[in-house]
Amino acid sequence: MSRLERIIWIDLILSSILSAGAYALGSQGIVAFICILAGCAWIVAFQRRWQWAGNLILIGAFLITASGVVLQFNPYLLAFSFLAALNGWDLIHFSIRVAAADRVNDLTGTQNVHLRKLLEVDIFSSLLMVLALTVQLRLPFGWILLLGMATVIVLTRLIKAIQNQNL
Amino acid sequence: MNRFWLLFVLATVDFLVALILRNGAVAVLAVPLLIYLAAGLQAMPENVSIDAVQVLDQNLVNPGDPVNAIVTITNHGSRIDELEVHIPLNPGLDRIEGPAAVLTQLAPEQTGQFALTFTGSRGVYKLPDIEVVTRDVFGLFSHSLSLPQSGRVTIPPSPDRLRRLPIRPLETRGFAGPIPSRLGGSGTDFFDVREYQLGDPLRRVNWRITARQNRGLYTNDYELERTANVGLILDARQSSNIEIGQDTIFEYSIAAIAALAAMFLNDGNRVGLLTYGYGMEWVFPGYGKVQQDRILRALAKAETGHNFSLDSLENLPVRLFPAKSQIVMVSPLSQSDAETLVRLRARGYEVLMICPDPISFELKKTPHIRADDPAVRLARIERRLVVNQLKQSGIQLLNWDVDLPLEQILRSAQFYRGSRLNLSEKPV
Repeated sequence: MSRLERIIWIDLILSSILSAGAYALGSQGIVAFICILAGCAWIVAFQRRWQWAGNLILIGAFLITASGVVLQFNPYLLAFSFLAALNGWDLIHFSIRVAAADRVNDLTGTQNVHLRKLLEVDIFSSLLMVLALTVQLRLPFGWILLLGMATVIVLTRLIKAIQNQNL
Repeated sequence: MNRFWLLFVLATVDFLVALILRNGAVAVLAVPLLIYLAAGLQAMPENVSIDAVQVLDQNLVNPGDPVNAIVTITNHGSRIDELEVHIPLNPGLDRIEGPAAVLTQLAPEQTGQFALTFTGSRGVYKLPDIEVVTRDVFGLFSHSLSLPQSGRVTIPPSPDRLRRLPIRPLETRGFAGPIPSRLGGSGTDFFDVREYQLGDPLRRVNWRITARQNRGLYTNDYELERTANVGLILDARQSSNIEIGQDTIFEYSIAAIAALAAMFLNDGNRVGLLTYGYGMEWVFPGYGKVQQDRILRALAKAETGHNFSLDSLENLPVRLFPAKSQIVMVSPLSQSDAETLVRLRARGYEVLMICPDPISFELKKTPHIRADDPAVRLARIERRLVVNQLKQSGIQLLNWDVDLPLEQILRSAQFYRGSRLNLSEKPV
């Protein structure tokens, strides 16, 4: 098993265990079991190179974690579970791109660059998530609406910029 | 679904749910998504400018010989974290070594080189464009480029060696060669007896006739041997060339023309080639190795094609060939061709037809059709009628079962009868 595959396995197992743990702590054993099953299904899909399964399972992981947060289970476990799922999803796509090439120039270097960038995303996301979950701010609805609109405007501009670049 | 849009939709849905439920913890799930997207956006190459050059070690090779190519990719833009290079090959070329797709990363002004080796069958191949896909480190944004290539590789047919064919055109050229010229002079074959002329060598005096006539000396004359004008015609009409899957009888015609051209040119003849199919490709007659190279190059790019105006041989431009010269046509022969060929013969051309047999070819390729099938028998009878008509008009015709080498067929037919090929005994 290559280093990349080991990391993917760790990510997928971590993601399912964390979400299962969050549900188990909230006395939802059946959902916890479903989380474990979903993790196993993802591992099988990865081993069998089912490309179509990756996006579906990421959406599933998002739904499971979001539902857990809404049901007020442990948000830290759920947030990190989703982060691990995102990592696994990204690395599976990366491994597919690597496998599709007949030859990879400097495979270790390419993997290292990718893993380093992903680690940066993980560290930054973890800090922000912990900060967001720890610091509780009460914003009036008007502020929330304003922030929401600002987000929409920024995202719209971003999309236009991306479309202009034909990417 | 595009990966960027998937994450974007998830983040947006998450925000909306958080806003509706007024639950900040739900919004936290969007944080890794947004940071991931932002990291991908930040790592996206700002300007993409890539050069690709494919250099071949040789542009003219024999079928099956390996060609080495070096592909050099240069990045003139900003850093590319993931560069996927696709190096396709034309149909007809086979990759022996080297990757079809390479994943690499290139710093600004950095160059990557990839080697590949391929072989191919007969043809002229323009190297296809090299496709490159640039991506950010997470593969969220990609940009595809097609980099045109100007290289070209020509794979002419490799001519088989053939024994000399005893052709006998009505007129020959002025240079010494192997073809009997129907003129008396110095040679090896006895031609005539004439009265002695001053300067004739004594050993050529025919003493027996001299003694019998008792009026002076008589000298043996021998047949002059000269070179000739030979016009090769390749039938490239789609209607007369059968294609079954990947196999086509046209390839056998090409091989025959290549071998005949080499043989006639080696004997010092002046040879031209007309390819009659979609259009008319004409290689002006010439001598020697250079002419052989020209003919092989023309054969390399020869393809069958359909053209309504050239569907029959009626528009065959016979005036291209010198009068009373030898014409050698390689054609599977269709029923409507007979009339034109007879007319060609009537104009004084010596015509030799080499006909790859389409019926045998089709029978071999389609095993479910039996040889004694009424349709097959009818086709054979029809063909025999055409062949007989052509033979009666003085055209030499060789029916070629393409499973056998042309040399073997020619040898089996080379029982001389007045220096002409005896091609009549083989059943069609």
